[in-house]
Amino acid sequence: MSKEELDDESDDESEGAVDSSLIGMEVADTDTKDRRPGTEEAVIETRDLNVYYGDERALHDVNMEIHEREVTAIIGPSGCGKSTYLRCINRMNDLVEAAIIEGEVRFGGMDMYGDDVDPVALRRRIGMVFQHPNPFPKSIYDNVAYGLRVQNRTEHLDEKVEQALKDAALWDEVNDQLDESAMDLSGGQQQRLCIARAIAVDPEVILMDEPTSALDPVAGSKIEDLIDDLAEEYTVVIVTHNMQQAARISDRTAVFLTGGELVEYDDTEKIFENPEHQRVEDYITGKFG
Amino acid sequence: MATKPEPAESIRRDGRFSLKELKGKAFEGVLIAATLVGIVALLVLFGYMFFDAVGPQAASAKWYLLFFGTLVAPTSAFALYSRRRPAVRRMNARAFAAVFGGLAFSLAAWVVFDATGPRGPLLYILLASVSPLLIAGYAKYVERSMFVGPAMVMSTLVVLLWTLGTEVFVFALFDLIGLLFGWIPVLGSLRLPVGLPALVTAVSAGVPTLAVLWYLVRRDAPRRAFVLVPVVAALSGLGTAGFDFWFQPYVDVLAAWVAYVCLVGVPVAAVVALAVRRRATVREGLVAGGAVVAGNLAVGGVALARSLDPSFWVVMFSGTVVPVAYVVGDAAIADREGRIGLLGPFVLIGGVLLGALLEDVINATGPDTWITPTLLLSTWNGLDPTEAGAYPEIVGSIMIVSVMALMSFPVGVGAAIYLEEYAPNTGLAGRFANFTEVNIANLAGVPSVVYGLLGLALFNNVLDFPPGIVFTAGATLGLLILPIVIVSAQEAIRAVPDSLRRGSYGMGASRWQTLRNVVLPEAVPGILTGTILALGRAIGETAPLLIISLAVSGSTPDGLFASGVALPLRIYSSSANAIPEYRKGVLAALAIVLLALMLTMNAVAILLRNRYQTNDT
Repeated sequence: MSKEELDDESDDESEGAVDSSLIGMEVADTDTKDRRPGTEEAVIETRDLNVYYGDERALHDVNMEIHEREVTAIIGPSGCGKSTYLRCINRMNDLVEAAIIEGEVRFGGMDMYGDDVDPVALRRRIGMVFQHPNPFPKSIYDNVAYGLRVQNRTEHLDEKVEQALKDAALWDEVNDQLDESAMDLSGGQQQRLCIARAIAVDPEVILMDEPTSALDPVAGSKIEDLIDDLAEEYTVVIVTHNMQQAARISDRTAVFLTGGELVEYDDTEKIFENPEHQRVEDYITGKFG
Repeated sequence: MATKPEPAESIRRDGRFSLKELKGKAFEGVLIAATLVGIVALLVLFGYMFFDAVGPQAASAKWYLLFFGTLVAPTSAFALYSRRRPAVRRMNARAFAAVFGGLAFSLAAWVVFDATGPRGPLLYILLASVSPLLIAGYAKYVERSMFVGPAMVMSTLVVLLWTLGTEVFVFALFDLIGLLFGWIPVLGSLRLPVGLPALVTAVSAGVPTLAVLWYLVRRDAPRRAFVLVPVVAALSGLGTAGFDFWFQPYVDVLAAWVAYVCLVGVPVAAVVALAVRRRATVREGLVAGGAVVAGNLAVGGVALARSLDPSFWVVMFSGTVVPVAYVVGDAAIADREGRIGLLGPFVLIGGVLLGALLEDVINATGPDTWITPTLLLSTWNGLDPTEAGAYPEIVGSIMIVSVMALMSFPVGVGAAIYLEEYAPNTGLAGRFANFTEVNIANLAGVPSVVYGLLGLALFNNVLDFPPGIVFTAGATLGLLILPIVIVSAQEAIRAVPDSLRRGSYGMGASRWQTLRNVVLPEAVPGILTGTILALGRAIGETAPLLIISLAVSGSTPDGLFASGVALPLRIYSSSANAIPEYRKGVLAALAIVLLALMLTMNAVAILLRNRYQTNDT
């Protein structure tokens, strides 16, 4: 099915397939929004990925490709393994001792769980933003400069910090208080600071684990606008509980359901308007989960 | 059908006297009493001690009037004034910390270095700074800063070990190996192919050299970095072969007061330079540091010209005048609102000085105190209580506390970091770590007498140190507080939120970088507070010192390996003196001096905690 056909269909079927009160407006938005060119090149590939926490199986044979310079949303009910999947992508699960990871995760064609991969170096290329804003109790400047400093890339530090803050749409609000503590910022500003901190080191992929769930709606919508801009340059993978958000900002959506199973993965419009699986439709329309 | 009572009736009290209420009140009273038992008992003790030591009943009414007029009234007035002005109170606290912290630091540094002589410690500090400087230079040269921090710390420790006593430690190690395996017939009859000194040199030079070589090869260091290998080999070889003795003559050339400038003035200047650089430019930092050094030299020169002891005044200048000047200068620039708070400590000191001056003028009879300059500054006299002094014991206690801190802090914090950040939670290794952790908690409860036996066995018998030296006392007490330091450091590290660690790892920081940049800065106030409180607790320990046969009476120890004396032992011995004045007055006065030392340390801990807490928010 070509893109045009899909768009046409969405006009007809949006009422039927999706509860309009839930995401009606946003679906209209995605229609008008240009589909990102997306290179169709897979940056990250997972093959038969299984994760166990002790006896518990958190991911069940997940096969998925994440495409360059697109926003990929991962949605699903609580405990479905979507955060676990995200943490596998930059090997943050290494820090959880009980986690056993089987299968293959490829980043740029290289097996990232191979013996010759340095997880620290890997995380330098795959940044992460967490659910709760977690700025360091340092100045705003030091927060943004942190990654560059630990990576020993301190030339042109001032310019890079400024650029990162501008990219994170925070510069105008904080440019006269760079030396003040980051803890004095509001929650939404702190989260944008964390994004600035992540993009300051110029990663290829940015992982976001429910970045707006701890924020008020206004602050959340700023972050969403920001994610939209970031996708011009970066590959963004976002885990979210908020289906409108996924519909608004993502190009592709992956739906994980209970048991750590990737049930459906497709273009966002397709998922929200005409999902293949009944379970996915039920979940999206709020019948379960 | 019963009528419902009116709503107002249903909530009215039954009568004036309700048994239920009475029971509640009585229970509350019992709880209050339980809370106060300890404090009241301690207050009674302090009251007795205070009367015995200070003898306030002997003072005349005129003296009390003077006391209130010059000391109590002005300080209370100041306290009342600043009560509702937070900026003033904050500045007042800073000024107090600078003045009295500076005084405590300078006096402690002075008495210790005066006892040991400034040149020995200076030599060690110079030698210990060689390798960190080399490493920093290497990092700049190859433009890689990975692992510079731990390398600097490790190399400093290694050099200190070499110079402080390679012979002692490495020989002791061989002794220990002999002790452990010598009973096995074959091993016991083996003879070393080379002499022991040669073997010691080979081990202590070879291990660091191989470590550096291994590190460079593993990290794919550039070829030019390998120049470090012969440097390390030479340094460690020299270190074992009496590195320090070679340099001794060069340090001996320095006049004593110049050695003090290098020992106290230069580090203080470096701290000031760093503090200024953090808020201004590098140049201004250098200027500030230079000013401190120049001030030191000027003070020394003036003191020489007026034939005072330049060493003492140099230490006082660096330790007290410089921090006070820094705080005052900072307040003058940054905090106009709270500036008046700077007066606090000076109101207090001025009141004391004025009172002392007027006391003679108006001829007031003061209290009959036992806390006199004689007690603080002269040596013991067992026959005339008015001539009895505890200067050697005070210095000895300060030295023991320093050794204690040096021994227990790095080891304790290191163990806490391992247990919290590195130790696995699962598997056999995890179980071992858990087992260790439980046992460390148990060790905290082992009686101090038993630790004394441990010190005796370890230092006197196994390591063959002479009996009753300062090092043994400090190290034994260091072992005593080690579990407390570990547990409190663990708690401080555990209190750092995990989200910060994840944030740091997510930025591509290594474990060490996360620890160094995120975890430790957050945990340091807690770690320091716990450590200092533990040190304060251990400064009064008596039983272990008796067991390791510390001398009750002696001269001021002139080094770590000299035979030591300590204040609690002096208190213990005066309680058994035949002359009643010793058992009453001198004993109480000594106890108050010991408490003052302990309280000073606790005050430092509280200040540190408050300072870091206000910085966070």
